[in-house]
Amino acid sequence: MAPLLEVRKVTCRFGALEALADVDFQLREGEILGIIGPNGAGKTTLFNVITGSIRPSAGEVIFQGRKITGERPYRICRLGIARTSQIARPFPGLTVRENVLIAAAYGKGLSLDRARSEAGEILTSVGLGAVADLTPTAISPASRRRLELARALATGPRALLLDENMAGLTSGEIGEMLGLLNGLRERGISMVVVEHIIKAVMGISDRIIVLDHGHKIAEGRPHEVAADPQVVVAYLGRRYA
Amino acid sequence: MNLRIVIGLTSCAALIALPLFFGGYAIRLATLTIMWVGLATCWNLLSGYARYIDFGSVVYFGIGSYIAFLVMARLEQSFWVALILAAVASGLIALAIGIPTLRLKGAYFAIATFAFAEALKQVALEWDNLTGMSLLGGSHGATFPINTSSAFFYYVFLALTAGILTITILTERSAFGYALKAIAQDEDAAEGVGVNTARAKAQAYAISASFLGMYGATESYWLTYITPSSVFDVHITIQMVIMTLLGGMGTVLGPAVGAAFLYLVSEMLWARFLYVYMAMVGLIIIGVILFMPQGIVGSLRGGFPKPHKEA
Repeated sequence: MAPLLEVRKVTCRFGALEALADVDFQLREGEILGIIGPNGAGKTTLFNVITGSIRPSAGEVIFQGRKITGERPYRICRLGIARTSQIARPFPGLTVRENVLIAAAYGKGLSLDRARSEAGEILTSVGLGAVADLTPTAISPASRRRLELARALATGPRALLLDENMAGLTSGEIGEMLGLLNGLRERGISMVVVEHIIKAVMGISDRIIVLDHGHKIAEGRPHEVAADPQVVVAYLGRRYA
Repeated sequence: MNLRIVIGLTSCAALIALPLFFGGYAIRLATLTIMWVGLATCWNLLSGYARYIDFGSVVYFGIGSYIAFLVMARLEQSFWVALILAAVASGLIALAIGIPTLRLKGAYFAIATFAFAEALKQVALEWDNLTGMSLLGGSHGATFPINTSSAFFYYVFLALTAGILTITILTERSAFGYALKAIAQDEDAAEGVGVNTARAKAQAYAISASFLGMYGATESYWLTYITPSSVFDVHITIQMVIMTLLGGMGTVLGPAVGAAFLYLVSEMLWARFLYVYMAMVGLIIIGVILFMPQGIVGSLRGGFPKPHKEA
């Protein structure tokens, strides 16, 4: 079966810095793919390339059999790729509900009334029903993470890119977030998860790829990757390999 | 809600009936107030909701004025033809100018729009000299056919202002309005949830430009005589900006309240304190900005958008 999302030989240079070098990977239907790697490995750049906010220097991104490199970000969102940002970026002057409503109205193309009820349902499903009419500045950081997820979901994605969605959460909150993500997978949403919390990403991912200085240095099932000497070197230094 | 409808209908009826009971100065004062309410409301659509500060809005007022002059004085067509062409031309030019310049952000957009307005003023001034035609009249100005009915202009301005206010109310209640507000707060995030930000900005810019063109056409016909310096006057832009800031950016009623307030207050002060009224107006503006940083309407109801708070 053709993969849902395919990244082919993507290279991304900023001046002399090569943020991504010939990176390839595939996301299959219904899969959760973890991406790990030290700071500066190119994980966020990779997301920016997929969602269209950065044009790669070379290579292409294929989604559902169609080349999407060079498309504007709003088009890519409407085609079915949504992301959450490392730093939650809600619209601070709108309510939590309105934040999600915009995503449903534009990302999914619903009328305003349908977008409003869709927003209500999604907020309830991520546990934000009670704070829907507050502004994002009035809710907890953990809730803002959920809002970020809710907003991405409201665009009706087939593929969801999560950029350190669990950073700064307590272990209880991480458990709840993992539960939410497993629920989404059951609803047929494929995910790419960038995460620093290794235990969380190992537990939830079907496969993992490891980036280091823009290169893909390993790919495989979580336990295989964890045992790979190259991965250990990238994380801990040569001494520990 | 019912009370609001009653108040709304009563004031509409009063506005429509006004020329039957008043004339001369009163009707002129009402006409200009309504015109400024409309101009500020136009400025608010893009600059208030999406926070793209346009410092060259007057350019469409000027374009509308000269289109009206060409259509009425040179082609000898009716005012209504002129009005429609002013709207269409301003809207199309706004799309052509807006699509590239709306990629600029913050002060850069303000500078680009300001420069475009100044540039077009020079074009209008020098066109005849440069081309050897006698088309626009250059600095000698351009004269319109005369219409002395003050009620006519009152009603045209009333209709235009009702139009742009209605569009603002519909915008506020639609997905389009949410898109503009989202652009104001985080444009990349807006694009990331599926908003075609380039299109939303261009739409708001073109709608406001079409109306500004019609205002220009109407006022010029009313005054019967224009020069490039009078219809491309940067003070017209500044006035729209100050009025909107005073009333409250990104609200339906803010620009209307700000415009009526500033225009009527300066008019009253001018009549009584001819030599110092400008200083007094300045003090009032400073006072409002100090004590009501979100504008009159914004402060009264904790308006949108709130200052960007980091948690």
